[in-house]
Amino acid sequence: MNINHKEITRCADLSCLKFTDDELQKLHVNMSEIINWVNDIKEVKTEHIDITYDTSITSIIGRDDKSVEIEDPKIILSNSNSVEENMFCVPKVVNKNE
Amino acid sequence: MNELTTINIHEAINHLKKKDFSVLELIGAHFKRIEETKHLNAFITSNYDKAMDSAKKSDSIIRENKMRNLEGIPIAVKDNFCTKNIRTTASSKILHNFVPQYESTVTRNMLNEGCIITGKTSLDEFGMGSSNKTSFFGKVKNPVGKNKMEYHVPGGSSGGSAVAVSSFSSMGALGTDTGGSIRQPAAFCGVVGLKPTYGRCSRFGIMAFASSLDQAGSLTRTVEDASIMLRTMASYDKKDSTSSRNSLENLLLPISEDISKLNIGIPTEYMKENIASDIFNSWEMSAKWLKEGGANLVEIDLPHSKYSLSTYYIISSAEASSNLSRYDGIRFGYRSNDNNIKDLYVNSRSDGFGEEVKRRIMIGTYVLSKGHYDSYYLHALKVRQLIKQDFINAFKKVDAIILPTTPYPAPPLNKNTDNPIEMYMNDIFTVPASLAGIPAISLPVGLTKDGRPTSIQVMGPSFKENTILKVGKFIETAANFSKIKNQEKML
Repeated sequence: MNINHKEITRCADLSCLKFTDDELQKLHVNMSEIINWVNDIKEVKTEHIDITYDTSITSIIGRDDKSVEIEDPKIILSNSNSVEENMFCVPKVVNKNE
Repeated sequence: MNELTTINIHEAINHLKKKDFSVLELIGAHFKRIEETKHLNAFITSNYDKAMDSAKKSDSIIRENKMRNLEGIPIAVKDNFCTKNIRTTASSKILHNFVPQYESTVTRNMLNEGCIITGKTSLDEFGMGSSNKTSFFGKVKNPVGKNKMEYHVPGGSSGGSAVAVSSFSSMGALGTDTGGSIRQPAAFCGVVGLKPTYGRCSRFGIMAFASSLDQAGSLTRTVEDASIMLRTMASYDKKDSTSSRNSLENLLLPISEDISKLNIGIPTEYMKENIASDIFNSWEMSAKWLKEGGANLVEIDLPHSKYSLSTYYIISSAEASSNLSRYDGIRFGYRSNDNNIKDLYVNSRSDGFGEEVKRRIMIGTYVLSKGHYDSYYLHALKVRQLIKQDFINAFKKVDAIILPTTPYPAPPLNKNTDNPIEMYMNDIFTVPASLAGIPAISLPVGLTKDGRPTSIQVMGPSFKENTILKVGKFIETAANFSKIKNQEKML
């Protein structure tokens, strides 16, 4: 099965990734080969099989829904490249023309 | 090479107890060895200053006779464990400057028992690969089996950790195993690699690749050391929703080598695979040793195992595409210089991730997308259940299963391939245990004619690490690999 070019660009858009034309061409070949390769699982009959999300844990226990106070906000912000007044900076989300 | 770097963890603990040498001497000898083996590129970040400070503290604790279980033992840590105030990169450009402000539970457990972190080791970017060639910080070289002309690949993704242990730069190392990332590099580098049961060690603070498969484990030079490390690494952790409360009681006992009442499974399906003759011989030899030791060999069927690789690559890529969506350049990591938010996201991710990571994100997005979700992702989850059921059925008849860790020994470092499927085939013998969530240990048993290690893998039922350690220790004694290694002068 060949993945078509439109599906590749759609996946790139969903993944927030961009590729050059050469990269897209190579990716097209690789993805088609990989998807063809994994197609063998379709021959397994699974009509009455329960889904398993994990394999050893019988019950998933959530954390207590309690907020944790951080003494110094600088700890949270320390790895960002752009910080002002104890806040993360991002470019303008809405531009004048939009 | 200083003899302080060639002893194992078990021996070092006893020597430190008797005050035969100081922790400062032990850690100093290891940093000297790290410098001597720098060309192997096993480490990304050194922790020299903090480690030397910790060594002084450990010496004073030992003087006060308050020694903890792993007091003063040097360990290397795969660079996908978050270590507080020590740069943690996952071998990716997108995290090249990331300094965590918190400690992973597993490294916290190790530090609490007196371990000393010497540095952070290289890996395939975000754990995605089997060669350690996809690291942003360059290829790692496998010192074992090197001939005059070339090095071999160390395997991956925990390649840096495996090389650190095999080159005597570290007594033990932490790794993570998603589809074989501890066992395969252990096999290529001639060391012991243990992947515990899923849930045995907390995933908190480990950079997620595929959350339903990721598991922390160890790389050591002996099975005994693997057991010692596991006792400290493992814990129930409420910060990890899939962490297990299963008792560690059976891990606290010394490993017995009595295998006389055990039934050992040999999965016949795998005999049809293309296996290098030296590897196949090691498999047969291991079975022979076990039989001579009184074990009963039983042929078993794992009928869905042939679908393991496909199932693994669908599920792991789907989970990776979701887990890696957090990297956007805003709160941490590499950030592109853009004035538009959408461009900033796209360019930070496109420039920050390497080729293999982007390929897996794309595959994951494809199998999760409308029109393909049911036929790929959902279907793979169901096939995974069948694979797990095969193991449950097999473990009704046998106590452990043995098969090779890899189908062939470490390939040359400079062998290039443009075909990702060829790389994925490396994992054919390791992914079934990952999908089933069961524990498995890889240990070296021999050498090929040109000096590359051959290894065997022992798998057991969930939370029966004691059984695979017992079988592993028996095979380790029979193979006497350390003697072979010294005779061959591999390093």
